[in-house]
Amino acid sequence: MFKHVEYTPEGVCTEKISFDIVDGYVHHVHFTGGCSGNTKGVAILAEGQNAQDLARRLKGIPCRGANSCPHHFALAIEQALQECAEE
Amino acid sequence: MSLSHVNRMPDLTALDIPPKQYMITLSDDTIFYNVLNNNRQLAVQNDAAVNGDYVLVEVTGKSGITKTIHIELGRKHFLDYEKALLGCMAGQVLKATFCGEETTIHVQTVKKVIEMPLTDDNIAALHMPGIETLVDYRQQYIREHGDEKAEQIFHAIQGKLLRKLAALMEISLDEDELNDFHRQQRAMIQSVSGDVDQRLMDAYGSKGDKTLEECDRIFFEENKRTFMIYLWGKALAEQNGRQMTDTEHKQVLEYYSLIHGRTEEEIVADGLMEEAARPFYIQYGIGEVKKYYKSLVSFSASGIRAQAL
Repeated sequence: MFKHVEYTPEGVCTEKISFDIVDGYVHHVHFTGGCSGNTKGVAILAEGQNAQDLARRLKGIPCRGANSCPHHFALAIEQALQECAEE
Repeated sequence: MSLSHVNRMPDLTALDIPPKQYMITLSDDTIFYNVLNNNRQLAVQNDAAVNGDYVLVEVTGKSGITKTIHIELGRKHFLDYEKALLGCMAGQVLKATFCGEETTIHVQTVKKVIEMPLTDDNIAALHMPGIETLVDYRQQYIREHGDEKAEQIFHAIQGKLLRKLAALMEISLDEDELNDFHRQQRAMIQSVSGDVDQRLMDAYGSKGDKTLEECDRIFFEENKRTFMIYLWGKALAEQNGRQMTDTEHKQVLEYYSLIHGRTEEEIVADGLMEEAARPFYIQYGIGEVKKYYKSLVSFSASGIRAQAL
């Protein structure tokens, strides 16, 4: 299964998060906007990781209150996995 | 009242923008990027793994700890593993040494990506409203994204165009006004970013090849061009009967007040409105250059002749 995702978060510095889920693993993560170094770091560390595990680890990471770019990345992954299950 | 003024308004056609910057040809890679991304399939790779294939592996080190990794060959995220896995087949067990540690790699699956062929039938099968053929999709893409593309290109060439424009102007510049403008720009950086000298060194002397005086001189020349764009923008606005709206008037007062620490009442009472209005006229001038640029822009793509924005 190959799913491409473009997600627009709200309330954080990142304007867009794009990535692919390939057979349940995350690839090609890209953050548009946001803290350059940190988001590049998250993208690299996420490459090839199990999508469910990744979402579990990133969810709830705070930055601006309870919100953060990694938290939204987790939400985007969960949403994509949900859509994959429904398809 | 400003002593500096425009003697002769420049002709924007003299900007001589190269055709390749406004006659834009869009490739299918760009146009169909989202369609291709959203319609990729995976299939089992029956041949030896090549770059672009996805390999699921279990890696066991000397410690006995096993981790599962999903690797795209050729991506260079897991370079050592990728080198070992190129040419592998599903079910294989490989031995490799990483950082001096002997590792066992069990290749679980190898899959290849199947791209959707770009054909009229495949595009029609996606059931997008009003889209039956590849040309339909290309035309819709130009309609929906043309302006955004033009904005991106203008943003990239704006600096060069404005430098050219300044060189075309016939302007009488009052030296005191220009020096005062330069001082104000320095003061603005100081109030926003702190150490203005350090900011100038970072911006123009980061290679360590320029003195502070040289960096300030470069900044002065940029401010001179900006001041000329302001004068031209103001003359153009007056020529076109363009006045600030109440909202724009309020915005320039707020901005000036924020930067210079003056109240709006003080700005008006001290006759500083002309100075406060400069950003408006600079943006107006840039807006006119952008409008001229966009009047030239045309898009073409496979099967589509050049059409205006």
